[in-house]
Amino acid sequence: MRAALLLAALLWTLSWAQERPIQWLQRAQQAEETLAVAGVRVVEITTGRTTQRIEERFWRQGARAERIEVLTPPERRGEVLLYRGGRWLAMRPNAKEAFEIPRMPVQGAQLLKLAGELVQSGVVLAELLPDSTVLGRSCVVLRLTLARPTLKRDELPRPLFPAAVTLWIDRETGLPLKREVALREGAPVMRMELTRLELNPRLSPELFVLPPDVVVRPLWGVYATVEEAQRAVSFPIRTPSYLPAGATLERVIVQTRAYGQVVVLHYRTPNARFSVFQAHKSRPTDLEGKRRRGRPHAHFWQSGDYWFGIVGNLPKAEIERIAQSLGASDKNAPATGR
Amino acid sequence: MRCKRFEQQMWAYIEGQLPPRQARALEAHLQACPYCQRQLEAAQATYHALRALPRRRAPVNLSEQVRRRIAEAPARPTLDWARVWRRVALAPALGLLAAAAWWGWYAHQSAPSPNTVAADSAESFVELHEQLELADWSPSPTPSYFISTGYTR
Repeated sequence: MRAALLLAALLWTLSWAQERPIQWLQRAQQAEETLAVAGVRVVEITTGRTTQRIEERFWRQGARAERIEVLTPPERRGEVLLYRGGRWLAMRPNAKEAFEIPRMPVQGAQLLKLAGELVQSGVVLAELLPDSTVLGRSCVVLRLTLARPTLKRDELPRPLFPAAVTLWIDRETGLPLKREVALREGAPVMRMELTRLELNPRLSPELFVLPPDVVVRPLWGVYATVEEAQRAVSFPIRTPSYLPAGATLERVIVQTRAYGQVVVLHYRTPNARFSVFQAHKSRPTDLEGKRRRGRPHAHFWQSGDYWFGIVGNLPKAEIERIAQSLGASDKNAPATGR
Repeated sequence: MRCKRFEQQMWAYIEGQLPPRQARALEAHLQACPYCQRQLEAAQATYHALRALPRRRAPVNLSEQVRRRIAEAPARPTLDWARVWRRVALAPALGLLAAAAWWGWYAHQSAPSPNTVAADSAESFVELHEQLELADWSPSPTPSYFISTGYTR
């Protein structure tokens, strides 16, 4: 009788442990890092008035290698992204050159690892919602929310984690089949959902290598450093002489718009991200940024021949300090979006 | 407003009928406007599809045949009331259809195109920053790659 009771208690403890959110996060991370899968997924990014939708086929060998073929948008159908040996390459259909993509973002497994660490430290709260199905498969629904989600004016920034993440984790394999990320309360949102899944497919090694006659070149328009970007820009790129503690430059983006080139310096701190925009001798038509609930701080101004903008979830005082280090004064810096 | 003007010129541009100055202005606009690039691609596809249709020569005596049929037709056709009634009943439906088509066209014209209307505003930079932030939480690298290089080429 005593043995039966002990066995029941053990089974109950095991089942309870399995149902704990942290266990599911760890299982999902392990599945992302180790399983061979293929399928089709849809990613939607909604910001303000626009929604960008991407549909792609993928073949993944755990965390080691991945191949992606773009299905939509139609303008970019057939483009291939390849991951192997720690670097991402992009290639247009039938092209004889591929482009190395610098500084790719944190990927699926790392996000789950970070989420697990934040749950254990109490910064992120995790709760299990009622089970659901995706692709006819039974899924655990796990919702992660920041313990302190709101960004109040001039308060210290919150941890660098979305306000809410919902994961649909396959009960059988541990793979996240669907996820929804809300950066801040209410907006904006990233959604990803698998629309086809093949477990343990036969993955030929050729899937993950470039054709032999393809030459790899640096990607135009995205750079790891200001020096590299400067070669593609017709005016001297200005960098802020003041940066918040721990800020590092993640990437530099150069875009050509109707009025000329725009340079975006995208920074990351341990707690926030922010972008510094600049154009020279010509400027966008509308400099007024209106702050809405859940949107980041925005600050735009003109200084001599330059037009600048700073957007990010930093405290307003920090944004103003960065702006001043780029030559903004009280007189010509009126357009802080509030 | 500019897009609308350029859209009206696209067919002339495809057929090589647009004056050089206007053609240059259109080409400059196309460089910066993905919406018009797509419109041009669609118009070009239609133009090539029409050009690819087989051509048929009209019979040499076509005009003579038409005149003869007109002459042979009864001078005063008898009034078919059932047919008239069907046409009268059809009118409101056609009116509704026309209104729906106009509404669809108007909505399309006035809807902000993410890549054109917002292209020059501070709002578009706020959105670009947010897209960069969001793409970092995507399990796929494609959004980050597209944000950096443009969703449309």
